[in-house]
Amino acid sequence: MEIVVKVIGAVLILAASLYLAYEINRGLTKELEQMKSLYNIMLKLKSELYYLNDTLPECFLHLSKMTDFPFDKWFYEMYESMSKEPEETFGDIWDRCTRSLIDNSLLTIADIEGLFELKDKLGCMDREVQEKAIDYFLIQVEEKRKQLYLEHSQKKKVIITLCAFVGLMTLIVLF
Amino acid sequence: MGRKQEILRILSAKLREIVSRLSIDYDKLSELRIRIDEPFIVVIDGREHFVSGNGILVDDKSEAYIIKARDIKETMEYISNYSLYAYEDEIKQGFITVKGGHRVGLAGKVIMENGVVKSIKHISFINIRMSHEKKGCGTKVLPFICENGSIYHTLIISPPGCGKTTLLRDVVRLLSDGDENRQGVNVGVVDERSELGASYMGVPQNDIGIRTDVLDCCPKAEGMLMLIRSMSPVVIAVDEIGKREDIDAIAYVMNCGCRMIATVHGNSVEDIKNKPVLRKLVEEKMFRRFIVLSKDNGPGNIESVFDEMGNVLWK
Repeated sequence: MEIVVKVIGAVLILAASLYLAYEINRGLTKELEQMKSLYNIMLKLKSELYYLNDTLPECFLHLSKMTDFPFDKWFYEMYESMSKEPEETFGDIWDRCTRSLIDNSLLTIADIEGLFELKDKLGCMDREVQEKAIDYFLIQVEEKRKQLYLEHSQKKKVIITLCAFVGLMTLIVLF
Repeated sequence: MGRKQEILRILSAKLREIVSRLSIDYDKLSELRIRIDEPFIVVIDGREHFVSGNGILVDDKSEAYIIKARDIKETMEYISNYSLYAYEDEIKQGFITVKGGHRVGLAGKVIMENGVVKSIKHISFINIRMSHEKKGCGTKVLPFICENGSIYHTLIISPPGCGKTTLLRDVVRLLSDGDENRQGVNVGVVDERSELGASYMGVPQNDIGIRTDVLDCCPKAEGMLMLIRSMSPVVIAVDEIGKREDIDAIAYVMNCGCRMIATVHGNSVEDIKNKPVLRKLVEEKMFRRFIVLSKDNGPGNIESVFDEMGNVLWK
């Protein structure tokens, strides 16, 4: 009986450490997915601006309906702030909402620092400047995503190894 | 939304604070002049006033609030709904129409491309002109335009600033709405400079009647033909004709059986006869009524009404 309990305990400890590794890795995968979503969303924003010639609040409202959390919340928050009686400049609204996007997502400031630079370019009169700023940001996102992919692949292996090692060590200590 | 709110929402935070403190009749406010590094000026009832930082009208410019670059930048953001790029065509023409039909004139550094204005950058001067509808000002001339159930081709002649657009707008409204003696008719308006309907996002901000269709920001000559093809108007109204293609389009409209009401810059019928492009309108008796406005007794003063033979119908 004692052996059976020990075996079950050992299996549970190993399962828990592997689940921990899985959860941490899932967060890393999700961060990459959100980077990919951001890339696609910025492409959509670009086409809204160019082909529909909509104003920024209109674009943000459309995009809030076409995207999933946390981006839908990000766009809707900006749309709302821009639709009521103006109290903030576009730069202030963009900064505030982008910070709240970081809070609500797995993205970090380092992942999307280029997004903050767009605040001076998105609403500007010169379409070429606007287009180039979005294109530059897309390049930055793509580069960052590639870099993260490599980093995460290594991290994932380390995390699995570490978690398995911790599980085994726990077993050795306990038994 | 009242006139005060319509104006406040397009001003920068500082200017909004100043203007909201002003104790003035907003119906009499006609202009707000915002020039970088210069005093803030408002025009009320035709008179210019400086405005202090506390929202008080002052006569001494040294007490006036001096406009900062930030005020202009912020105001431009609010005027353009944070999207200057979406107003590129309007900016090229030098103005943006905002909610309420108010017109925001812009000046700064003009960018040229192939000899035409491409855009204005470094916008440093803003003139907010309040929209003023004068409902009923067309009632006086309507009996000359509509007689025995028919509507005559009419040309309103006036020097700048005498109210020809205001009169045309009201005539359009009266023809479109109709009254107990006269059935309203479909009116097509080609509003090249957004002055008649003052459309904001496609919706006319001025009352131009229930049977009026507006082609906003469309060149007159092209717009007149488009309206005939698509909206079957009884009357077509255009403001400030003057180009040769406008005259050709007017002739086409008249041949199609539509009635034409137009305005033109000038001091008298004789003055129009002396202009090479416009001469044809008078000499070929294309228009049956000529309404001449003058500034003698203030803007909107109707000086005289003539028929195509030059007979004075009213003076």
